[in-house]
Amino acid sequence: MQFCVVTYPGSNCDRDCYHVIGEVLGEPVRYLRHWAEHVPRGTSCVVLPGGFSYGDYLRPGAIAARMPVTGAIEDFAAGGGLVLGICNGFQILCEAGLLPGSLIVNDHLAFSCLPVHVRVEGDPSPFTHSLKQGEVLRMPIAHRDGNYRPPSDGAQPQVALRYCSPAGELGEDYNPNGSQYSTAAITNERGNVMGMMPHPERCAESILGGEDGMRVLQSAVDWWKEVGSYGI
Amino acid sequence: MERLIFVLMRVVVTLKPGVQDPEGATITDSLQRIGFASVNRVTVGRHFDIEIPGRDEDRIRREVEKMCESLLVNPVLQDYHIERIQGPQPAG
Repeated sequence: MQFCVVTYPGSNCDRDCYHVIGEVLGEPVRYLRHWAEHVPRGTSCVVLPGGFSYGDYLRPGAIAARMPVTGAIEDFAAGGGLVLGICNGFQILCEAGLLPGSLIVNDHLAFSCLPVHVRVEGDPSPFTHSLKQGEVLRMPIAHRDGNYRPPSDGAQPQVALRYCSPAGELGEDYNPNGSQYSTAAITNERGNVMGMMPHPERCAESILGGEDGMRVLQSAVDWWKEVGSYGI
Repeated sequence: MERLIFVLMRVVVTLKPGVQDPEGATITDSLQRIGFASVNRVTVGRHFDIEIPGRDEDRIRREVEKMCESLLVNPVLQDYHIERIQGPQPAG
């Protein structure tokens, strides 16, 4: 399953993603630069990594969302390709309109860098395909703008992961940024585009304190091998 | 040689009513704490001053509107309005 990791000016988790996909997941991976006008033929999944694309100027993700490669990713997603945005990648997908809603500054205004627990929700997506509904994962977050707000038209997004207690309970105490309904990850209606604030690539090896992130990436691979060749 | 003539437009971006504004809430709280008890609410926005060559203010305003829709404003969260700061005049 061919992966591409996008590098925008200011991305800083691109190498981590590249390493985890290539060395830990063991799938072919290449970089895709911000000026690229096409996603390479044969690509199954594009990952938009975390970081501070374009210095977070204007709004996080706003400028990256208007770059040529993001338009190419939009076409790729429309054709059924898998797209995963992590942290700043999630912000870019919202700014580009590939995911509904928006991410604003954390309710406490501070940068949050800590491990959190997230609960797998029910809406089907390739990225949660191999996970059970209600299952709890532990992953790190590192962001200042992760406070998810749904679109103002009242449409409810498809939530893939919610912040929770280690036992899977929801509540303000477990919500690190004020996100509406404790939202940590959403997908588009079709399920092939997911944005998540936690960093799976930072918890994909036991030496780094956890492997739960691998389960999200492995889900996408499992799904692709079982279902992907038939399209989404 | 003729000098270039510019119009200066200001785009003011504000949060839509009802959108959570943690920064505004913190500033409101801080003002109240340091003695400005009369403050009811502060909301935070930002502005962009955009200098564009030309004399046709209507055309320039339409161009600035396009900039707002394309990049400067996130329509999910924000409203905007455009003010003319300086009419056609030589660049300063």
